[in-house]
Amino acid sequence: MQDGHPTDEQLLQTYATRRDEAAFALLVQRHLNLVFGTALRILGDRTTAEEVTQNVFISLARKAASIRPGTGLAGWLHRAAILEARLRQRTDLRRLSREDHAAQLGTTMPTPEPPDPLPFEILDDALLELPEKDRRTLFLRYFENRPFREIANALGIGEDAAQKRTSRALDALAGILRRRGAATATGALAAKTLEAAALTAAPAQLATSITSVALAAAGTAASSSALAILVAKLMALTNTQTAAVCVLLAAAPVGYQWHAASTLQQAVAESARELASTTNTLARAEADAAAASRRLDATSTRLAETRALLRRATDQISTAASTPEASLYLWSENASHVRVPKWLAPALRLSGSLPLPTSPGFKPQSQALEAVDATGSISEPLTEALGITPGEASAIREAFARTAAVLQQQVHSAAYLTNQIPAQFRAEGKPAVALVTPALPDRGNAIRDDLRQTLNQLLGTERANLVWQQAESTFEHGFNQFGGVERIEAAAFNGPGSLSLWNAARDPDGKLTSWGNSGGNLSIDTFPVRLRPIVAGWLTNSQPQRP
Amino acid sequence: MTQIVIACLVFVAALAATLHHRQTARIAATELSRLQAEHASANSALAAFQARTATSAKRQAELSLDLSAASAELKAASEAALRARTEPDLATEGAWPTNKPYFYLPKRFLSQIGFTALTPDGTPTPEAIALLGLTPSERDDLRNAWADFRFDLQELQIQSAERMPDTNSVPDPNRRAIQFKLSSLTNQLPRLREQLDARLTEAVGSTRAQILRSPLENRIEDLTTPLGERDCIVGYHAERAVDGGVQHYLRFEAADGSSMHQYAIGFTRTITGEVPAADNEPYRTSVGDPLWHYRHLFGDQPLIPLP
Repeated sequence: MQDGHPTDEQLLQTYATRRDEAAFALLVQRHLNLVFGTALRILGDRTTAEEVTQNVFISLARKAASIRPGTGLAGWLHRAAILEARLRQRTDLRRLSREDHAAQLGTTMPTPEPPDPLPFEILDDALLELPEKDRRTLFLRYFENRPFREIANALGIGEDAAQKRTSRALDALAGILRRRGAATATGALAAKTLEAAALTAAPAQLATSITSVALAAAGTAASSSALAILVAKLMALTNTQTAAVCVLLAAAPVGYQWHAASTLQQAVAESARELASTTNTLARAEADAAAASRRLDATSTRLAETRALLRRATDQISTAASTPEASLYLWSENASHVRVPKWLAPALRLSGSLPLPTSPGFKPQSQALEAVDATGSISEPLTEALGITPGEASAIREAFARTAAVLQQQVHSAAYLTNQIPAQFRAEGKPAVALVTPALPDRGNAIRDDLRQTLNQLLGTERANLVWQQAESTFEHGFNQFGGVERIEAAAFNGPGSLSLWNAARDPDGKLTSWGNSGGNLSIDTFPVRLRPIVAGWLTNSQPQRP
Repeated sequence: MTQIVIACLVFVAALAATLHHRQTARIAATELSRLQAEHASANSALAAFQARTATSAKRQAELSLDLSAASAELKAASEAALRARTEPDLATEGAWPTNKPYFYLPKRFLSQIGFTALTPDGTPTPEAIALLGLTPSERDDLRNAWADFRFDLQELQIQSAERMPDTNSVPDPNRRAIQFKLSSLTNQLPRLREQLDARLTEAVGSTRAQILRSPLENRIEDLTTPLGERDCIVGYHAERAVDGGVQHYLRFEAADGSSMHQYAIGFTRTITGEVPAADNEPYRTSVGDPLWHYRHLFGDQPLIPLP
């Protein structure tokens, strides 16, 4: 505040912070002549100078907040007026150039020549060259017409010092003017030039119109004022500061979005892990549920079966007499024997078995023996089960031997040799011979009945039936089913050292059933007695001839 | 002016980075929503399975109580039968008493004479009951021991079974197959055998358990594939012939391709020992059929509907 008047800085602050139109109007009024005069000196046209003046104050209205405290407003306005006027001047020159070209083409009416440039142009450039504090001193003294006391206050120095600084500034200005071609320039002449320049007055109504236009323009830009302020502030920074500020400003949204994305990605990863874990748990739970269901089914079945067993056991106990039949067979740990129902005996293989050597880790193997062999020898289990005495065993063997002899006699007289070998033996093209024993059903049945009768007499029907049933397989091969089928025993010579032997039966319907075959380096004893001479002949003839 | 350019460059770069992160965040949010939905669905299914398991466990506990009660009754009935037992009297009756329904056989022959201990469905056979003199309670214990062994073995097979891809690249309604690779269970099977042996000994005593060992091996072979203790591929195959007939078979192949066994499968609408089923009753495998022992893997019905 200077003598009750607010300073430029205070007015500018008031306008910038509160949008105080009166403060701005006062600034316009205070500096209108400076701006208008500067523009007029450069452009030489009042109308254009008024437009430039208006633009400068619009710019002031927009940039008020960004003008740093301590900047002399008069100096700022003077520089802005020069820049704006020169810009306008260049624009006009380009336009005039185009219009000249159009005039040469006869498309535009010719216009009067522009006025000569004013000598004050050197003054403005010289002022721009002055240091800021000298320039500010001269503006205060000559364009604002301040007394030295106020200048001293504004610059924060004493009045004498203000006078001396003004004098030094004028000398400096004169030096610049001399350098720019005004050879006679002195400090006094520079002062007179400045006084003359300051006399340029703007039209009376210009201050009012400029104030309203500038405020309206600034108001229009109010929506972007923040950006304008930001841009203006940015312009006042160095490149490094600008970059730093921008990076800081830009980092916020980038950081926010990065943080949000990063947080979400972490959540996705965590959720995926949880889902994988839940999926595993789900698979286990599904398997557990299925297993529980199967276990439940198994238990239900087990319960049903246990109840059924219970019913049967209860029925047996309640319906049987004092000794239920089932109790006859219950296991007695101390007894050496078990009771076995007779009805079960035919289902058992009472032949016993011979354990075979097996390697460790492999299932034990055994070879089943015959309950009754072709000589009539009875296995130990069957002997013990039937309680067969040694005398009975001997008689049984005699009966079997007698039967076999009779049967062999019958067979021998009926059997014949033939080279008609059944095709199933695959002996085509080879030396082959077959011993055929025709079926002897009538004689065979008589021999069988005789043996059966003998066994019945020796053991009684019950035990004899069991022997007969257990010996069934023995009667098949060794006894030729008592002549019930045609038997074919065929031999073939495959080549030196290689023989084949087939053993088969043909039933009354003509169906051939193989009873076994073998091949290779067979012993001659393997073949039926009647085939042996023939087989021996093959082998002899196949041996290499001595030289 | 330079400051403006720098600012613009920085802000454009920041805008691009912001948009990139925003897009990333959007994608992540979408993925998160999907995962959360899947998670919710999985949790729901998990809860359902757990509820089923809990229900089954509850029912299992109830059935186990009933079973214990029934077993106790059966044991009591068996003890009553044992009290009525008469000791074998070979000296008086002779080995083959002519007027009795039984004969005497030395115990030492029981492991030689060869008999079938269990039916294919795991019930003691009449031969086993008679020869080993099993009480109702022992029959029950023997059947349960075998059922537990079979259940545990089949559970191990289910756990180790690895579904093989369908050999048909294009689905063919006239040719279907389901195949699993089964591990040999070399390490687990001996433990199960030991458990079975212990259960048998507990149920019928060591003498009879020893006698049962060999006959039960045949049944164990039914369950452990004909290829023995080797990794194998077991396949359930079905083919429709040109004449409309359908063939089903079970095939076992050694995993190393060295051997293969194949068995034809038959189906029936009736269940053994029960009255014939209605015509709309589906065809199923039956006791004794090769598929019977692999129902836990393939189910019990035809792969291709029978004509």
